[in-house]
Amino acid sequence: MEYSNLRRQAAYMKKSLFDQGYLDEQFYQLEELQDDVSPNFVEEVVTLFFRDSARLISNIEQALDKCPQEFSKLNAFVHQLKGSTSSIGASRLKNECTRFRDYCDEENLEGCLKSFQKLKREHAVLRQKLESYFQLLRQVGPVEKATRPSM
Amino acid sequence: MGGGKERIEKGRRRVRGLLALQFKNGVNSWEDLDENLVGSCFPCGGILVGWLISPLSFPSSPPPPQRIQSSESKREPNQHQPNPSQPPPPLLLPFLHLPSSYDHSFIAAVVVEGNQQQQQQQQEVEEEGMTVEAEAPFHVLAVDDSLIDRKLIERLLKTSSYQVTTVESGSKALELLGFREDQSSTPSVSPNQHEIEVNLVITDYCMPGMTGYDLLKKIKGSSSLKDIPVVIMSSENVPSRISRCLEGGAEEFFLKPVQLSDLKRLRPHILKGKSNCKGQKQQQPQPENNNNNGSSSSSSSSSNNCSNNQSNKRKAMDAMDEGLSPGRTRPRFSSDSLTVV
Repeated sequence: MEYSNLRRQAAYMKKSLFDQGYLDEQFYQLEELQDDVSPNFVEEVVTLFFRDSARLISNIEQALDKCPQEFSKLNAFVHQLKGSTSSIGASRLKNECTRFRDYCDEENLEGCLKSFQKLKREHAVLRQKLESYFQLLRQVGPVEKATRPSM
Repeated sequence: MGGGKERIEKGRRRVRGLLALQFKNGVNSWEDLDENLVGSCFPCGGILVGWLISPLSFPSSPPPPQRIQSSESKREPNQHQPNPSQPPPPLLLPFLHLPSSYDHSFIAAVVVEGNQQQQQQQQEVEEEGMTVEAEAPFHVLAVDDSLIDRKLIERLLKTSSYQVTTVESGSKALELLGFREDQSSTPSVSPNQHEIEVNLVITDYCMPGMTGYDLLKKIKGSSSLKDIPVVIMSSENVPSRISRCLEGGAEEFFLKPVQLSDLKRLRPHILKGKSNCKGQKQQQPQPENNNNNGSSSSSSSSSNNCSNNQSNKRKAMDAMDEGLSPGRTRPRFSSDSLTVV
């Protein structure tokens, strides 16, 4: 059955996201909050996240470009970004934020620049993966809440 | 059928009004109360079986259950007089809510035992009682500058059956709460029309402008708002920050990301907050002992500011185990029978 294939694919995709460290426990917490009242909660939050994080990344980019020595400003942006990544369970991205923040604290501009490039990459990869995942989910239709990929 | 329900409601209102009047006139003893209530004449022919009043109102223990028959019930021979040794199937009328202007804050529960004709209404009334239970969920004000976190906390709170308002800053929060700078010493007189009633504030720590800590201090420094419990959230685990917040009056400190299990810790603080306002207690389905006897009925009816925020719709809570002296035998009540004697 095509349907069960799709479901298996979705479950597998989710499992790899966890196995590869893109997502952590917090993502399950989001799923727990999804129900009949709020059936698209996870996707809504993730969409909000990417919109918000894109803005913050752009702010950081501008700051690095125009006033790179203002580490406190950079710190403030990445603090916000890290908070959001933590809230949705975006584990790898969160770790990259931590590294960037550490370079800021050390006032290590070169470190900041390198880390920022990684951060942007992680962000792009995660976005693409989650977009594919939700696209697949939409094809599958409402899936029962599983706390772990059961297939 | 509908007529019976109306009668019960009428009877309920009558008793409520009568009680209110009595306290206003300075009833001083159990005997006074009972005498006046005899005349209240439950139209459904019920029997007043007992009272519970918080220890603040009367020093002595409540009287033994009285059998008070309305004139109606005398006319209608009740073939199903309850066996005194057996708790009868009751009709619970949870209702009493006195405005804060009364000296006593008390909770009274009247159990009316209907006669055979009213047994069928019992179900309806209980259901009605249950509906009343569902009214007016606790209202939480969530403050966070992060859009994602606001969405998350809103969902968490709604899932936990709270009513939620989210704002993005401390100043917006204070605005909503009706905070006024000059209120540090005088209690508020009348509620601002734009105020909302809030049972708990949960706020992020790190926010631009006013931090969560600043907001906490403002709330605790305001005579009208100080009794509202405040919980602080932060993504950073900084022990000095945590203790500073707790010392500043925060009830709890949550580490982000906040989870559903964390929200369970909110309930006692919300209930305590309500209790400080009105001497009201959480309804406990199986109060087996008197350990709450007088423990949480605080005499802070001076914080009438809280009550200004309470709407008249708020039901009285049945703190069934308040006010009874230890050693009294009484039937335990459960949520289905709702008996109190």
